[in-house]
Amino acid sequence: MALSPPSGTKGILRSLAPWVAASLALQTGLRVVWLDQTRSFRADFARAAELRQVVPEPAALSARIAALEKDSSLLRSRLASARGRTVESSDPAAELAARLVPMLGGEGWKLQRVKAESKSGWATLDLGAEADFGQMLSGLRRMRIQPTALQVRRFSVRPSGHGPLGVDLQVAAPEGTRP
Amino acid sequence: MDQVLDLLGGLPRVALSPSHLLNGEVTTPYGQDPSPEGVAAAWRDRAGDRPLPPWILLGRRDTPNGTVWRLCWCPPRGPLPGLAEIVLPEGLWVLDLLAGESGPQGWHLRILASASGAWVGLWEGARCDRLHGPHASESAGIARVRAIAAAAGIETTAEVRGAWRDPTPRELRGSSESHPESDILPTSESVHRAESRADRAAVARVLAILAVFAAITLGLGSIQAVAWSLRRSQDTRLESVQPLLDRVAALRKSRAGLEDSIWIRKDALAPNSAVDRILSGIARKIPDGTSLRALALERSDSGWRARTEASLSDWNQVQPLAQALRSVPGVAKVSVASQARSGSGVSAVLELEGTWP
Repeated sequence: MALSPPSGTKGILRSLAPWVAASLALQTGLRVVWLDQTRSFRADFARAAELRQVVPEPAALSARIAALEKDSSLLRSRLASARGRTVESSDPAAELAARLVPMLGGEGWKLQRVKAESKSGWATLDLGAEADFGQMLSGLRRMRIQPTALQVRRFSVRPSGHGPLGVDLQVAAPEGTRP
Repeated sequence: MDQVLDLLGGLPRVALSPSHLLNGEVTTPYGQDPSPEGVAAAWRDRAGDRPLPPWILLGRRDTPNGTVWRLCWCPPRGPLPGLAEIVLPEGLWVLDLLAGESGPQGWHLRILASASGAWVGLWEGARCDRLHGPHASESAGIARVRAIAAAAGIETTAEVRGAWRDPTPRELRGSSESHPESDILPTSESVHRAESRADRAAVARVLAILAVFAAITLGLGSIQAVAWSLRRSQDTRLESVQPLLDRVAALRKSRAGLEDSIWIRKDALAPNSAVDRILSGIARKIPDGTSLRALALERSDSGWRARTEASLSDWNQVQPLAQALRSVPGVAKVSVASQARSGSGVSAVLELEGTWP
């Protein structure tokens, strides 16, 4: 007894149903569900890989913090040293003159001209004096060992004709409040 | 699993069922297969107007009158299996099993015992002439077939025994395809069952597609879960070191501020100008008979530069003076800018450049 194949609308529906289901599933999967899933896990994998490379180990971070704290401590020390070597005053030029003029006078310099001014973050002292060679060297050595940062910008020495040497000196010190 | 695959493949289920075996024969012109009409005519000769049952072709023998086909009509016996679209008589499978046995060339009996009973076939060489069964006892079956053979003048002494085995679904489907005339299930019932089977196959196919969809979704979901887990662990690691990272950022910012402050005050960190060392160094290198009349020094980008006027006794002392000044610590370059006679001696202007010692 041979079987007759199913026919009619029901048979067509039976034949088409799997294809329709497959088509819908494929469309839904490829365009919505699987696409979203793929995007999601790719983003997660990428983020995880990025974090794995970027985020350092706690031990390395601790070492980094220790090194930075040491650097900061050294920099603070240098900054304190720098601040200590500037002229901190409301009138830095007068303060610089007050520090150097008595000291040079004490070294035997006969001051003939003193001019102090403040300009561009520098306190400048411009002076003319008479002193013998030893007094001159002694005064310059005292200036060199001063705790204040002193920068000799111009210096000249010449015979004055009657014994001591004529000295012209321009010295500058950084002000505490720089522009 | 095989049943599920058969359902998805739309393959029919084939079952075996016991049936009566009514031996007969049909003669056709030489070399031709028996037609359904010929078999029906032979059935009418034997059973009158009763419906034609399915049949099994046993074997053929060519005679001067044509080809004689031995066959068995198989009227159903007892209830038929309910879960098959095609039901074959058990005798068909028995015939296949016995045909697979090797036997003598002459007349002999082939015997096989199944769960239904004993089957006995009368064979001439590889050709089956008759098949009877199932008998409740083997001896009774053998005795009956021997009696039939003896009545036909056939002497049988040899017996070949076959071994029963259950057919596989594939073998049953093969038999049903090669012997469509042997299906003992009524056509209307076959069609009804086939329709039902096709419905189930369509549902199964849709479910299989949904299962594949779900499996792929679950597979991707598993990958998603793994990826989420990896990312989560890295996020957790980031959260655990976040205070340390904040501390590093704060320290870097603080260090940058300190570096800026120091950069602004970098002049305050430079050592004080050592003019006294330069002057004392120059003074120590002045040869006897030479004196400096004036010296002017000013700061330069790389250090300092100076210009001095020296009084020397003669020309030959100019270069030794310059050479001596070159050995002063901090002096990098000494050049004679001019030299001229001055009274009884020589006046030379020298230019010096150097760095702060």
